[in-house]
Amino acid sequence: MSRGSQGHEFYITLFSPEGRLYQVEYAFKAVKTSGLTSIGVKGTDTVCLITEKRVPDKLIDEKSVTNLFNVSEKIGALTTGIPSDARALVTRMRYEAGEFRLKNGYYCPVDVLSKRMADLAQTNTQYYQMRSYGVETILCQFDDELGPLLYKLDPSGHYSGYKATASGVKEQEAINYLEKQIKKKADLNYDETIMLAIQTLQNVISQDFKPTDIEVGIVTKQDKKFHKLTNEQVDHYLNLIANRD
Amino acid sequence: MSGSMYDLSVATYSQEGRIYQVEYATKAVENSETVIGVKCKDGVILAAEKQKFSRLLEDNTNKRIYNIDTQTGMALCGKLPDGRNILQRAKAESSQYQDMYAIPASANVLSDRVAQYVHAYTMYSGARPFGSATFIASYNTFDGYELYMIEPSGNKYAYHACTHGKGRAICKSEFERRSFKDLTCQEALVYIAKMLILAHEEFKEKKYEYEMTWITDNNGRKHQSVPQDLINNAVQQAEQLIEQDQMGE
Repeated sequence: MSRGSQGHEFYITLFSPEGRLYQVEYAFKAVKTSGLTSIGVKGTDTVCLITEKRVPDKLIDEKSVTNLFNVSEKIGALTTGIPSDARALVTRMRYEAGEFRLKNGYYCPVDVLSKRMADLAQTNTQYYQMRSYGVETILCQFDDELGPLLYKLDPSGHYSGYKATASGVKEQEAINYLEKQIKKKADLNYDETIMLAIQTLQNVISQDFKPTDIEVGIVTKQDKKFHKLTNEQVDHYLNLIANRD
Repeated sequence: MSGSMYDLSVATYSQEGRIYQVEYATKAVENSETVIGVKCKDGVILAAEKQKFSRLLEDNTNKRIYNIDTQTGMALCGKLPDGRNILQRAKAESSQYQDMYAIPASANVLSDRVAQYVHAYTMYSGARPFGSATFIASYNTFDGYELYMIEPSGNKYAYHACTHGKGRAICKSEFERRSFKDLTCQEALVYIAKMLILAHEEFKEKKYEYEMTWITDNNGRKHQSVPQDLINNAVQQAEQLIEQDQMGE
């Protein structure tokens, strides 16, 4: 990494001479320190979020380890990066979604929430007091007006809607794989969405999964509530993929 | 590990995306006295070793394990003044929760709030992280016995058994060797005393005392100190066990 910037990388409010904000770039690196990869895939009537579940220590109660959260009944969030930053962000998202519901009388749509969280993240890149969160968040919802929605937020304050996306250590490999698959078939039904997500993760991590190694969350047209799949349901899909290969 | 300029503020990421100030705060905890939390068959135990660094100190005062409410206890590891700050916050959170919802906060909720408080101090350039890890043990009717540990980074997990401080490696290997889930709290006291004594093997000449508290089926499921005679017995038996192990080698 070129050190030609002489001091500009230590402070968030300083641009480097090449016009880069190094602290924001380092925040992206922090996302990868978690060692996990997460994937989100959108189908025609389903959105699926999936991540690895790695319990850092044998003594930890596995029930307390999760990166998949409900932001509201309808919005699901998948966080990748520093766990404590992720937890703080989820709390803030829950608050923002709740405030919106209170003030406006209807459930906060995920694109509005993404924009709000992105704007908040941007202030961390412009003001000295706080550092950026070392977290990338993938949000999903089945919206009444817009249908299935998948958004990704990152430490720089950028947000975007996606057909499929990934974050974490194997982000680039996962995105390459997803691009190829989506090109072949973009309109995926319920089963296909989930299988594509699991397949992508298996492909980039090149490891056989047990149902307890991954967390899968989905939201569908029929059941607009975001919920996690049980181990039996995950096992069902793992078997389908194994048999198909 | 040199931080060069990246370790001057908690609001600065290093080139690899690490936050050195949080790592240094964790070091402060790792160099301090050992604290253990264990979930047994019929309860939860918190235990801490305390070095008697002066003969003028009163015995069995200067606590490291406190009550947050009748059924919740918190043990402090690391810098005690920092730990006490976190403790005050935990007490306030617990009290406010009870005011609003009329039931005591479950350990899940309480530890989450405390963890986010600790985490907030890892975000601002004007403050430093807490140099203290805290353990929360509690009982409530819905969730049963719970044990959480909150690190200076704001990370929190629920544990079957957890430890921090100088002797954490020794304690962790003992946890893996022995299944505390099958022992009652009374039976577990000896092994806990053994871990704490082994934790300061190199400092044998110094005097230590042990503070233990528990929440068990037998003491009305309240967070209370283990009676001093039980602690003394456990320590004696533990010392014998250690002697036997050493003679066996």
